[in-house]
Amino acid sequence: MKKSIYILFILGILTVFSACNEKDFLEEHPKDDIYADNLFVDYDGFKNVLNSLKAMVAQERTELAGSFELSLPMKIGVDNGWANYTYNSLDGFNTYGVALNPEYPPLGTIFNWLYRAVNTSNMIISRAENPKIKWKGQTSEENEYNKNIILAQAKLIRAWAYRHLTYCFGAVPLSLKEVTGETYRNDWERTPVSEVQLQMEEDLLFAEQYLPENYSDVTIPPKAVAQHYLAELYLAMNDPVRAEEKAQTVANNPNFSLCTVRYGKKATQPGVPFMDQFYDGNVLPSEGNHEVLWVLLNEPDVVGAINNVMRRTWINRYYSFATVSAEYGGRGIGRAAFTRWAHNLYEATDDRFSQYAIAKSYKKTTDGSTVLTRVKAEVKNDTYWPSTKKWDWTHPEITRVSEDPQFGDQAYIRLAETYLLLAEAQLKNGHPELAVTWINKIRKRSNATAITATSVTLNYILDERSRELLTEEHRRYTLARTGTLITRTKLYNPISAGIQNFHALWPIPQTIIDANTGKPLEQNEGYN
Amino acid sequence: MIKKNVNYGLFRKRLIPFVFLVRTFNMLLMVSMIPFSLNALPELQQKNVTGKVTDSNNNTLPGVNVVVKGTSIGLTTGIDGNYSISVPSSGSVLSFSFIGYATREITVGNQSEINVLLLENLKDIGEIVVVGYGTQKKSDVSGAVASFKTENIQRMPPLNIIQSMQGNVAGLNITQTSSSAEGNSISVQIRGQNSITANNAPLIILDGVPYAGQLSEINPVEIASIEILKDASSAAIYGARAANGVIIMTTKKGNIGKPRITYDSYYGIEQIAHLPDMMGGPTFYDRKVECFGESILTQTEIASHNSGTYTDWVDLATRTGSRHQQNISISGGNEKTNYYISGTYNNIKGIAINDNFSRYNLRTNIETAITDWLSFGTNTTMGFFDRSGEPANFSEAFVMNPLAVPYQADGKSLTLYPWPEDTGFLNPLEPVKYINENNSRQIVTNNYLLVKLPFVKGLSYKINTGYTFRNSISENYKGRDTQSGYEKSGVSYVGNNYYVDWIVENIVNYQREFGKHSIFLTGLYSAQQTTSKSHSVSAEGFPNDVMTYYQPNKALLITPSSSYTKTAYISQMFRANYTYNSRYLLTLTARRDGYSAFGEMNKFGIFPSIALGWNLHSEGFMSAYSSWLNKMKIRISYGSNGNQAIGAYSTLPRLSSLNYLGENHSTSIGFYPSVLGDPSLNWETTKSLNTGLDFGFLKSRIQGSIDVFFSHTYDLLLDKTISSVNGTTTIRQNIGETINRGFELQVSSINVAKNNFKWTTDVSLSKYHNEILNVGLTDSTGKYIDDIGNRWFVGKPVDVNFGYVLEGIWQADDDIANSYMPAANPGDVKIKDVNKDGAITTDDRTIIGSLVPSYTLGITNIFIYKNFTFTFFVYALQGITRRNTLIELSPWNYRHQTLDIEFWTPENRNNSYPRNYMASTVNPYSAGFLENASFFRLKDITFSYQFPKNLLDRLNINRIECYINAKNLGTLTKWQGLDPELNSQAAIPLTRTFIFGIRLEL
Repeated sequence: MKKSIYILFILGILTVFSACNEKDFLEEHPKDDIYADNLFVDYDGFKNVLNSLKAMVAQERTELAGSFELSLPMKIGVDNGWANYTYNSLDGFNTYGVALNPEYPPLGTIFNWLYRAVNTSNMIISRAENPKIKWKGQTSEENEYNKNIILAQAKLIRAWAYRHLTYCFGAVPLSLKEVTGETYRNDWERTPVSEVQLQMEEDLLFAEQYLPENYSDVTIPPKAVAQHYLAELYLAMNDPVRAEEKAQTVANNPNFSLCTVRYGKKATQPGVPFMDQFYDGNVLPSEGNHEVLWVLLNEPDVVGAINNVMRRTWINRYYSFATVSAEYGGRGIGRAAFTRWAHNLYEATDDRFSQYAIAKSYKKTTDGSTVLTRVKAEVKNDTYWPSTKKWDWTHPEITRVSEDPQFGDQAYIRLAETYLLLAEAQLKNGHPELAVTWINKIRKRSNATAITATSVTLNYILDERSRELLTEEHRRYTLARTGTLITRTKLYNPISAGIQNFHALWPIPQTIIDANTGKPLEQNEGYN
Repeated sequence: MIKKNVNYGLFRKRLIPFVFLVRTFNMLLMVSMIPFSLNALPELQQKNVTGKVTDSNNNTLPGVNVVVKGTSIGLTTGIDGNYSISVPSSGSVLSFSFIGYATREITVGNQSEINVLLLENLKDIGEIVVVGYGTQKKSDVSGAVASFKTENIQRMPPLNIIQSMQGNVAGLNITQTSSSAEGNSISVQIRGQNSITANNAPLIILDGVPYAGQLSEINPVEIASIEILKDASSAAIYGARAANGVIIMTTKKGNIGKPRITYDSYYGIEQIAHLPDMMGGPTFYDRKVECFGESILTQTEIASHNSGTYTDWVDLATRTGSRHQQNISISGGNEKTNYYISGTYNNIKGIAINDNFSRYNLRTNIETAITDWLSFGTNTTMGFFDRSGEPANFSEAFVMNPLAVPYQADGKSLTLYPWPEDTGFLNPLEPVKYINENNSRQIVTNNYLLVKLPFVKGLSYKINTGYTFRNSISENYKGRDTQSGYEKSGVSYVGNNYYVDWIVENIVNYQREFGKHSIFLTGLYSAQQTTSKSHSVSAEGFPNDVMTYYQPNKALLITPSSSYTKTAYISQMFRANYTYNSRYLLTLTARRDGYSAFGEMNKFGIFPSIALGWNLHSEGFMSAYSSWLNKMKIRISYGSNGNQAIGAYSTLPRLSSLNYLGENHSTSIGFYPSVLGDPSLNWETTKSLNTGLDFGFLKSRIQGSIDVFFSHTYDLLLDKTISSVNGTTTIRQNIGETINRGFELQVSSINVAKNNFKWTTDVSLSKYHNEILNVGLTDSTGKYIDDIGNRWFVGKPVDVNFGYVLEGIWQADDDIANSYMPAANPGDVKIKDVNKDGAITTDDRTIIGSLVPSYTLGITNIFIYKNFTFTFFVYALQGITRRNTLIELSPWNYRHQTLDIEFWTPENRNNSYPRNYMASTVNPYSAGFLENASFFRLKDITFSYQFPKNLLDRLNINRIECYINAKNLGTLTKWQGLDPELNSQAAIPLTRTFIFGIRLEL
């Protein structure tokens, strides 16, 4: 009896020692996380990664780099935008002082954000070539279509990222392949802008080929977006002929035209046609908008909602004397404002200068008296400076009127901008008489006086862009592309008058230079 | 009958590897030798015997086992060495035994008082310590192992077992990082910091099994002994988890004797120990107006000021707290079986309103011999822990505008927007309104079988298993009486956590003596697996508040989340101890550890160590000094240990979520690549050298040890900065090195030992200094360089204060225009031009002061006079400088208040604080205000009284002891913040506690 128990024990020990296969026992099988290898297996997985790419585009209007719209640095320090409030994080962009140096934190954030998008696109583009992917089509044509619609969007957004990168930093490393723990590099080189532009052209042409003609599926941008960017790219590459061709294709596309009559949610309330397209509920093509080319989707209280801060960034701090309300557009902290010059650029009848487009007055909380907004010399912390009403939005729940983010749809690119690119190309091609028709279409819609072909100059087009696209366009890029950034900023924006030639580009973030230990990465001129 | 001292050794050697608990060891041993026939003795006339046990120095000996031979009647002597026992007859034999002393047996005869003198057993001097996978005689230990005197737990009842060790063990650095009812925010480090980013906390072993739960859930009453393994050799048995040292805790066992019932209860009140001198309403108003003029004031602020209603938010958020304990334990046993059963209820109401903690523990420890070669034991505990209730938001309460309004017009309901003009401010008291339930339940059971294998003498096998199950649920509801609940129509959160851990250890021991050679071999093969799952649901937007967190199905927005983590370990360990003639000691250890989270290419690591010891006092040539020097041991050890600083799945490339919207604005789940994987990732390795000296003078009236150590840690897990062109900014790699060195002194002395009066002092002093050697960054010449972004500096300690040095204040008569800060105005801060280049640049940032203490000191004094005991404990941490974050200049344009500092004015100049003006020009480089955070603290005072024996005998009670204990009575410091020990200075204050307790033993 005793002996058998001993034997049993020894057997027990041996079992414990041998039963355990060490390798299997220590192998990891994560269940709560998804990995590239088990995600990029079919069409759905690719769509998932594409969703995050689209969210990265939408992040452009969130507070990734501080409490301001992430693309605000592309809209201030120029002729028509400045930062109103004392907020150190914006000083460098606003005044071009010593703060705009390689260690300026928002620069790193912007750089990282864009390369995240580049790498995410690269991952999609690299992995789509795997023949084992199940594209979930019924036929091989459908499979091909599904694959190309994914690739077209990934390439569109990769070009979108390189557009930002080249305008912000100039020559940047051109990365086109997926990076892994074994292949990451510390010896990146700056690729000349002209080479990066060729890649952008290739990507945009691919996107143009495979994106849909119209915008009936609001989750897939139409080919007009690729054409719009191609037009701008060709202008930058000094190829106005092809620029005109691409912009003209968009202008001729019957699916898109300006919104010239009142429509949608506020059609019966006093207002102007120009502003209708900015109201939540009017932004999507399905809601009657035929001007929008690319939409940033949003919706309150849904997973996937984007904390958009356009209103928070651009509406002034009227809360210090008037009660925050939906009528006033919600609560803003006036991080930025248009300049006095931009404000004075309108004629009185211009709808884009009406009380529906620009806040003219508030009722004081204490005694109900009317407070008028006004512009004067740009001096920081001016609570009476008027704000644009393009970004007005409050939560439908009245208790949430003071909330910081906004969750309405927004137009990211509008046909009006394509018209102005077209006009610019036509002017360059020696056809001001063609250019003037597109400019007048825009002016007519807003009840501004029509102009004649002789008035069409590059400066006029830039002024018109400011009137039409105020707080929307990446003004810095437009001015840099047309070589007018320094002169116009010095001329029209006293706060940013310190701008010098080398400020046309921002410095490469120091962290990027420091981390590139394998090869020295050159800094932009003027920042050493 | 067998002669005890002959068999003692033989038995000991067999039992040592198996029996964890030291105190019961002699008892077990002795009784197991008693012929069974004695059990059958007829019950005769009962007789009471009392007496006192002393040693040769006439010191009383507490804790001596007194047993009536052949029966289960037994007890241990009290703290004064007295005992009182009923014996069946005058023929009974009383056996007195105590570790380190020769056992004596005395026949009762007709004596009613038997005073016993126990002589030190010279062959077996010293105590036995738990060294992991076995026990060893202290004199045979060659590594740096410290024992914590658990009597301290009785003397100064702590809520948390770790708290009681602060300042009591040299080399064990314990810091209370924040204050709460539960008191579990405690940082524990053995010998300071080796790792930069990884955890520096030691491995905790409870009853032989790794303990992963919260330290606040261990009931200190149940702990019998604590050993701290400090050096590479002693800790090496735990290999990849031992680089930060090991704390081994062992719970109580029953002693042989009739059932002993102990009741241990206390009640205490808690008060705020100290509050910083914040501005308060009137001063805040004055300073704000002085800085900005009246135009900056909002209507609310003007109204509060005009009506003179200022709000002290901290006062509204605090109360007088209380803590109390009810503990009953029953223990006892016979020669075959011993048991210890303990039930405890603790309830703490913290000084922060709604900060409560309740703890219910039930422990059952049983050990039983099934046959003479097989025994079974269990140490099982069940616990319920209630953490329900959220305290106010203290980080906001300290700095909140005192002119804001806490209550609505009814004077009771909290305002949702305490400062209506600035809607970004929450009412700091709001969390008190949350409906909150937070409960955990835990079972930790350790079961083992011991087999003495009969084929080979000295060979034994133990299978030791541990199983932990833990379940937590946390529920929270913010109703419409809170800001976010109002704005979002109710916000709920429900989270469930499930945790299971099992471990199986096969331990083989072989222990024999061959003449003067003694060997002790231990082999281990173990496997462990930990699984953790959690599921939670956040929801908002409900029709009403009635169903609180039971209505996510009615919510407008629901966000569920889940996680799953599984880790596995496989380990083999071999340890050989060899002793020659009790003089020369050698320990060799090697452990091989496999861990699932290590990279595919590096699943296993091997950690070897060696230690040597020399009992110098046993040498013949030392006998000349034996009149004053009775103990002298030299130890030296060297070895490597690991810190498995990586969590599950960290070597795999990962995707992060970034969601967007699709058709009809519905959720579109999105992923993007966010983490690059490194399949070569492995543990951090610490190699350390330890030299120690154990000494005993004047027959051990003064004894202690000194240790000096040096350690080198490499393969540090750091997030290496890489170019974000790669899509991410860091990759985790094994790069970087640190060194750490220090010394420790632990001395116990018996200052006075008279009949009625005894005074003892325990001192522990330690010091360490760490230094970064490299953080994986090099310049073009290959020289290691600093990582300024992370504040890691080559050649400097891991933690530093780094920034511009605030040298003083510019005065009107300074030549400011020609200085290196020409833009400054009188009253602005003067930054030190560290590199003397005539301008303030980023190069003028420097390391200021030290965050590593120059020394840590703990002194315990115990005075015993007759039945009275008086204890006091002082703890000191010296040489620390920290930034006082409560001093900020016009913070947020006076939307917050700060410490009430004396600003510079032209009339009232000073050189410490600048003028009250907009921050950006006054302190353009945002230099911090650093203060000396050293302190001396009177941590514990206890006054206790034991009721006299003769009185208790009449009541048939073994012991009654009453005590008053005061904690944190006073602190000597220059620090102006909340407390120099706490991390955050705007947090729940430290408490001062007064406890009245009673201990009763039947």
